[in-house]
Amino acid sequence: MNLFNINILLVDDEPELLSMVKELLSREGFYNIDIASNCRDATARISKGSWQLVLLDVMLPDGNGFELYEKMMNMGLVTDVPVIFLSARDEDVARLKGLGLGADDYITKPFLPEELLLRIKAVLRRAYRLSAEDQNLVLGDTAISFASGEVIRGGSTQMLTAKEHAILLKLSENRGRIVTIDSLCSALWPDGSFGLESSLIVHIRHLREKIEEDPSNPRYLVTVRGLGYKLVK
Amino acid sequence: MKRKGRNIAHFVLLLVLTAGILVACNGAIFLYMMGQWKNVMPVSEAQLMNSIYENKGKYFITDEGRVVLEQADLFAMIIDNDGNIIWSERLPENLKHEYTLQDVARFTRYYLDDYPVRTYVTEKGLLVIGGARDSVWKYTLEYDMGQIRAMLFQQLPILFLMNALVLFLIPLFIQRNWALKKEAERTEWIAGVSHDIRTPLTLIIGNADSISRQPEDKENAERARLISKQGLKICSLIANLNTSSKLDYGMGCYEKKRLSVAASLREVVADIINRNSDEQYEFDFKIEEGLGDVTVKANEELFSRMIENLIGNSIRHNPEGCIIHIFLGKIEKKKKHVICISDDGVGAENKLFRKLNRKHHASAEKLGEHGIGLRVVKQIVSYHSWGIHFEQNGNSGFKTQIFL
Repeated sequence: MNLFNINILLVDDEPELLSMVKELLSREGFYNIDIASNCRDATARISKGSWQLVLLDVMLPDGNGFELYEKMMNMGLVTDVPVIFLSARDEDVARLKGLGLGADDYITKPFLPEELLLRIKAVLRRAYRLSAEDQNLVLGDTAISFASGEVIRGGSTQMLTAKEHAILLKLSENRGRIVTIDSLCSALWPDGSFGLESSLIVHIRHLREKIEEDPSNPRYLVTVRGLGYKLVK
Repeated sequence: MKRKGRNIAHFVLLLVLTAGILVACNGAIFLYMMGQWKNVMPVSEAQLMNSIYENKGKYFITDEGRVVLEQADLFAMIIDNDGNIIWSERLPENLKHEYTLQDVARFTRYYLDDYPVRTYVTEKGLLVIGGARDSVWKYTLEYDMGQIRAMLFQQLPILFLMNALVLFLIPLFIQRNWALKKEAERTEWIAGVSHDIRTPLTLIIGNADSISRQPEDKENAERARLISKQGLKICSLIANLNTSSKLDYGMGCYEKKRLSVAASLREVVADIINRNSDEQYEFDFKIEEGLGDVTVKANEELFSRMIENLIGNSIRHNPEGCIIHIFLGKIEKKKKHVICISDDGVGAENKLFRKLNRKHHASAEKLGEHGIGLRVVKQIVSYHSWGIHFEQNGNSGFKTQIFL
């Protein structure tokens, strides 16, 4: 499944916001985007079409997004469709309600465009088990294929271990951003990562030996002291 | 402070006014009722005795005296020392008999066969003046002097104090309810404004961000970046305003749970660095050896806001750039953990540090530019019963320590 091929429905009563988000998504490469500006319109579109992602505003002129989502869920229309609430309500209560209903994320306005895209992609990856696996990662003269777990450099090929694969995947999904030690650990050890920081350091060292030209002086996989790691863009 | 002073003045005025109205009302009602009460005995002893005269060993009443008794609906008699009636006027039939010593003792103070009577000792004998049945209520009071003294000097002051307390509490209660209602309205209003401002801000930030990514027009891209940055500043201001008013009036629902201090710090700081593209800021993050697993009971949202505000403060006041240190350490003596956030920037005047270190929250206007962000930090600290200290970081720079 191609990430950019999916049908996205945006529901918001603010036309400028709709066109802004639509433009943002188009620029990113998504091209099947439809919009609805109220509950009635949204209901009609959802029941007719097939969607892979719904972005839903909470305050709509003819009802609220929570109720609309519940109704759609009860009708079985969005059971497998990831839904992200986009709301101006930032209280914990509203956020917890949205997530409690089963939504995949709750993003409060105002949001940074980059943040919105990152979170949408994260939701899509989770929902459709997509990953950057489809893509190859190129770091200088090193090429990494996530699908096969191979690291190719200067004619020689090395295999990534499962943990190294997971680390590199997590970092490349957040390329250019710091990924904290804690979130790397919980990606590696989902059942509890307490006290496994030293293991993480060992895995990182092995990974660097495979992808960096000079592992003791890394260019791509850099340490942000005390905080975590970053895959430099 | 000004507001507090005004509230106290307001309250005292209300108290005095309530007390005044209460006293005036009571006095007026009392006086009016007293004025309305008629004299039970409109005929005096002297007046009656003057109208009684003796003629050949018998007593008579003048015509005027008779009229007076009739008008007042009273009867009268004189009993001699042997208990015989030697004169009477309008005396009911059933009372016309001889009176024993016991009879006299019985009616002296109360009633004579249910007729309310008064007795006077005159030179002619015992004068008894009485009224109609059920026309007067009589009661004799008898109290122990010790008890009266106790009442005057012990119970009365307590009674007085209780009255004063009631007088004090009623206006306090009214004032409190009134203030609470106003505060609730204010918090709701701020929440409403902050809600309504979010969508326009999203548009401003989003559009500015998309212009800033157009490489062909560098000048406009830079301007757009500035707009986006200012938009984000407004966001944080609004969020602070909202948090501050919710914390002030206990309106927020901030649930506390166990947080890993190191992990929470890492998350907030990484988030700030990820969002902040300016390279003139350097971050130095350190967790003291062995403190990686320290936990604290706190609200996650408020904890993040506190750290964000402190780092934001360093960034805002050092546009030329600075090194920001974030440190989690331990104070052995106090057995407490300390989060220290400091920079090597321009710092602040000592006067500001003194103001910041005062126990009560200084109002935003008095903190000048450091305003609401640091105020919210202090509110969050007090919400969690932590400690806080602001100081100059060495020769220059701003340093904040939070004692968990």
